Amino acid sequence: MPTPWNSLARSISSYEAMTRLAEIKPRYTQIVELRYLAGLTIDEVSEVLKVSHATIEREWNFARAWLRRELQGESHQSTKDRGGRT
Amino acid sequence: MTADRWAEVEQLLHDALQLTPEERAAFVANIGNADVRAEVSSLLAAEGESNESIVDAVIGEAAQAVLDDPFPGQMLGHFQVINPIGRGAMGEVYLAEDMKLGRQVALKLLPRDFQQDNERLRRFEQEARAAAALNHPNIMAIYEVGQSHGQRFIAAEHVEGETLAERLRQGALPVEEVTPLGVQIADALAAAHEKGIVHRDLKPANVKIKADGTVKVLDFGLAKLTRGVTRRASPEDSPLVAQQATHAGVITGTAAYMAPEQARGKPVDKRADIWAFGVVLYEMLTGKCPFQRETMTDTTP
Repeated sequence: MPTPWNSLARSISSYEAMTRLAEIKPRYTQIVELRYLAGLTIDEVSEVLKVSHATIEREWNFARAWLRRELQGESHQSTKDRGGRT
Repeated sequence: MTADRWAEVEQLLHDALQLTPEERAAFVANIGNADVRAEVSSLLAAEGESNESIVDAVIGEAAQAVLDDPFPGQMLGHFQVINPIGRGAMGEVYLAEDMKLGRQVALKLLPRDFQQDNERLRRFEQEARAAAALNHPNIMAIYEVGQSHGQRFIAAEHVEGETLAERLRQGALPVEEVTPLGVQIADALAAAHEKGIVHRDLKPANVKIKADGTVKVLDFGLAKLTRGVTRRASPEDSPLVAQQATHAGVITGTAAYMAPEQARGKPVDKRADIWAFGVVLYEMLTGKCPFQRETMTDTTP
């Protein structure tokens, strides 16, 4: 059963993951937001951000895989330490 | 890792995703740099092993988490928030850029509690659509009613300039100034009334004056939308006077402009706007409100 606390904790880790993703490249989180929140297609995101379809598709693949890895819990913890820009 | 290394990871991940799962292992093994190889390998694993819908929900939540309090740079739909510009009739208002059309807009966010009530939401959409149909040079244009992961908002014309309330702080205005302002407000009201839309909250704070002297009346028809958020309004159209009186800061300012029938909570039509317009005219000419009492009931004759 989700409680307000673990849902809050999940929101916080989600928030942190988005922040760290933006540190690698701000456009990653912009794409995630446009895809998930605005429900835009790759083509529409490409139009809004004025970046080619191929680039958006490549960046979207990365952002999604990266977020999946970071949000999947502790099993990939070791990679988190290398998450930010160094 | 450097930005170059990340770019490499991004490209290699993309290439690997085009391959069959069997081919990927060999592809990854061929990556020269150990850090890059480890990244690509663990990102590929995350792609493969996860339960699609659960993880996507969490990512959606990640994007949602940043929404509760929009900050500069935040995307709401295709609008990018620039900064907060104040509180309006409905709630928080942000200056934002429409990334599709490349223009600035005022984003009016609906209060969260307001969004729980389906009946109110239906009326909100209806009213916003009606208000959006108003196309007049003296009425703030409504561009879009949007929703971004549960957060509803209205994208409206961003009008720069001071409000009539700010202008009146220095006192009465000369007649030569009052006339063009009054004519423009009256034009705006006439255009709205023709379409059956009543403002319901005309007051100096809802009138903006641009640098070139053009008047824009803000928030047409939106005032009633947030009234009675916590309790269903009954009868439908009358503002809940008792409830409003409890929000003293918001309401007393407005009470001074309210027609008697509106203050009593009776149904309101365009005549209430004309009453409010009279009060505004009086205030522009004299620098004083004709009704200077503190509460709504004092205003009621």
